[in-house]
Amino acid sequence: MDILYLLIPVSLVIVFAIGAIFWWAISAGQFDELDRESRSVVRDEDAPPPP
Amino acid sequence: MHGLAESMNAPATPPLPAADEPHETVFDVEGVTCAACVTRVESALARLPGVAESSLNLASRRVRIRHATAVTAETLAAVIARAGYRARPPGLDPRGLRRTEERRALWRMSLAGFVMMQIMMFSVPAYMATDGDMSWDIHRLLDIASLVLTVPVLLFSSGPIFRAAWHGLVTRQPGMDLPVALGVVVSFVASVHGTFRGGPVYYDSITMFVFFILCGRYFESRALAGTVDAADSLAQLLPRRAWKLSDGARTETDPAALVPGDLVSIPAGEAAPADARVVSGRSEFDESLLTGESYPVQKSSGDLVLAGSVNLASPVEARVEREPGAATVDLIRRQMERASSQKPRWALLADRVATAFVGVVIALAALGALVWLAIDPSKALEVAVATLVVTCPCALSLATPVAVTACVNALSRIGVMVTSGRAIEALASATHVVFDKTGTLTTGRMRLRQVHTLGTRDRDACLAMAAALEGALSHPVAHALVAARPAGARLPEMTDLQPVAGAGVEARLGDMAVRVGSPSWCAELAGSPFPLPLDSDEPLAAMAERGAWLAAFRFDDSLRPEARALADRLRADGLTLVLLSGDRSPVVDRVGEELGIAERCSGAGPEDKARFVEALAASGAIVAMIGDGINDAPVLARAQVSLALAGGAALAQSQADLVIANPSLEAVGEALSLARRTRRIIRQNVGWSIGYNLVMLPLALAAQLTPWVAALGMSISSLLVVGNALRLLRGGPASLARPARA
Repeated sequence: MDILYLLIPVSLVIVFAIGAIFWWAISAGQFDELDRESRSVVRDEDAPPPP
Repeated sequence: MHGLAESMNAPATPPLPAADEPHETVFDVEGVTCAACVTRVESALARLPGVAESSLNLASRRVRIRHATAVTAETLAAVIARAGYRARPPGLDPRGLRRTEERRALWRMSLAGFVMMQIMMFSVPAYMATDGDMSWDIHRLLDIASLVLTVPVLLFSSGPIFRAAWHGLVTRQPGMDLPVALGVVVSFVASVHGTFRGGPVYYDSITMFVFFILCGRYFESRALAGTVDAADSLAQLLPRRAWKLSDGARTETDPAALVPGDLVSIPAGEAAPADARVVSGRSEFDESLLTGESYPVQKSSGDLVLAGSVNLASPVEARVEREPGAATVDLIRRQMERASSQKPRWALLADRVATAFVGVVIALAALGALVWLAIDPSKALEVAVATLVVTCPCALSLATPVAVTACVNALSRIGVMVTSGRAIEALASATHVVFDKTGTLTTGRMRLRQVHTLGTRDRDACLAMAAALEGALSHPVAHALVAARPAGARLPEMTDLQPVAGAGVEARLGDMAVRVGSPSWCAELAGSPFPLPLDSDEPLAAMAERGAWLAAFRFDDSLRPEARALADRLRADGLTLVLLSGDRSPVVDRVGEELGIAERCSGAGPEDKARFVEALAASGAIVAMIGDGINDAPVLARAQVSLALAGGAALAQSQADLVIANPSLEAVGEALSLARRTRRIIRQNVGWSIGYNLVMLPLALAAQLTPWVAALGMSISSLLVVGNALRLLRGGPASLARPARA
């Protein structure tokens, strides 16, 4: 069971890594408007991008 | 034409001057989470000299302050900031700020979620293992790993909870954040002690608990944003650009830069940038978002186009009538906001109770912990934390404002503007509906009912002459006569057309003078008294040439097509209908009989009407009065709740509690049933939240609830209340619903 002494700290590192990736996703605006891409299909090409 | 002409020309009562009302300021307040926050902000503002009244809506998080002009907005914002919240002017780039706020809230919640899941993994072995399965080392390692994970949740995720709790302590008005923060801190300290000295740890409970609370708040604010956005979405109707015409050139400008008098072009498919009067062109406009009317409205030269209504057919040119910011759509928005910031009685009670409640909750939790220390010390902490959490009156304080806000928005969809939040309460409990005028139930448009020929000319010839005489006028009788001209007939050539105010119109046919107008005025020309009896109250116009009578025309006012259905619907709802009219009895009786309204009062002057309504109210009836809202404001004011039928431009002048901009009377019935549904939903919400606390508190004290179950229950309870209120925004009759836009 000695491997647990390694695995538990590793799991901590992984949690923090996942957290960091998610933080990046949120701050990059991935969750701001979930239906933006589905709407972009019907939007005119020449229209300016939404603010 | 007597009587009729007077009522048509009666001056409108000017809107009340705004000068005797102190200044009004509106802020969006950030960081408001529960009823105690409402009390805290309001009482901090009340202590400031010069502030007359302030009202914070928990649903829209918007505070409306009435204050003396000497108090500046900066002072007010500073006072709110000292109470622990951030105030910013509404509508001033909320997107950027709100987006950062939203992102951070999502991040706080999901961090707690990730950590919660991981800690759960770490706790499972401890729960599953029997004594001796796990070594002391592994136990400590798992506990320390959990501790490491819990720290960011405590420091970052629950930051707002601690901050609000601290502000509550400092201002001595603790909110619901205090018990929650207390619960978290107590369990954390106990867990840290357990980690290093050996003993039970509660990291799983703490993170789960924080996660559920943040989850509840996050979804709650998303749902609330949905109801609040309705008022804001009116502002988004306005186009981002306007086409200004000057010296024949078309330039693109910012609509906010338009001033009255500017000439603008409104291309097909675009919305009008301001309230403007059409100068040239003819088109159809979709005003459904303003009036709830789904049919496009014809507009041609001289008609007012409302800002935000969409041009459906062909381009028109129009002259700006009101500057942006004073347009009808802005007035509607402001009224809607005011309506939802006014609190019905229930909400006031919930706000007042919340602060005292927190003290009771903390005392109960301490008592519970003490008792359990004597019975079973291992459960004392859990009992205390569960009690602190489960009793949150969040649901109770949300119960009313969220329902009122949803109702105001649902009403606006069918073209009914509520100008006071208390009106919904009164409308729901109305027992009598009084129609202030016959005109409320009729179209107000004259229709030719009968022609008496009095001279040598036949009916068609008389009608053709009358149409030629009245063709250039805009009086209702003129419209009726023009509409009644014989099909295909050539109109005789008239010269020297001279309208005479209050009497009629005179012109020359060849070299012969002809008049259409009131019988007495025409008698001067005919040289003999009017040959027909004048006893009827129905509007009547005579036509004469020099020395002879030609014809007499009788008109009536046609009943609105939907009036019958409305009367039946209101009666089916158990309401007593009353027809109160200044017209004489034949007209009133005809309308009353057609609609089956037994209680009628005809020939009533404004004084009689006011007395009648007062007497009705004194006998215990709750009177909802329907009028046109402009000429009859004093009478409307006597009723408990007043509804005004007013389209387009008249909207702003109205002093009624509810303004029906929808041209269909059906909206009245719909507003009434919405008000009743709102009342029912408020009762359900209040009943639910009180019942919930009554059931959960004993369970928590009896150690039957773990803290995370308590947190889950509290969050679900709040979401349930919000979801229940959102039902008001669903459904509604298809005929009144706003058309879907691609």
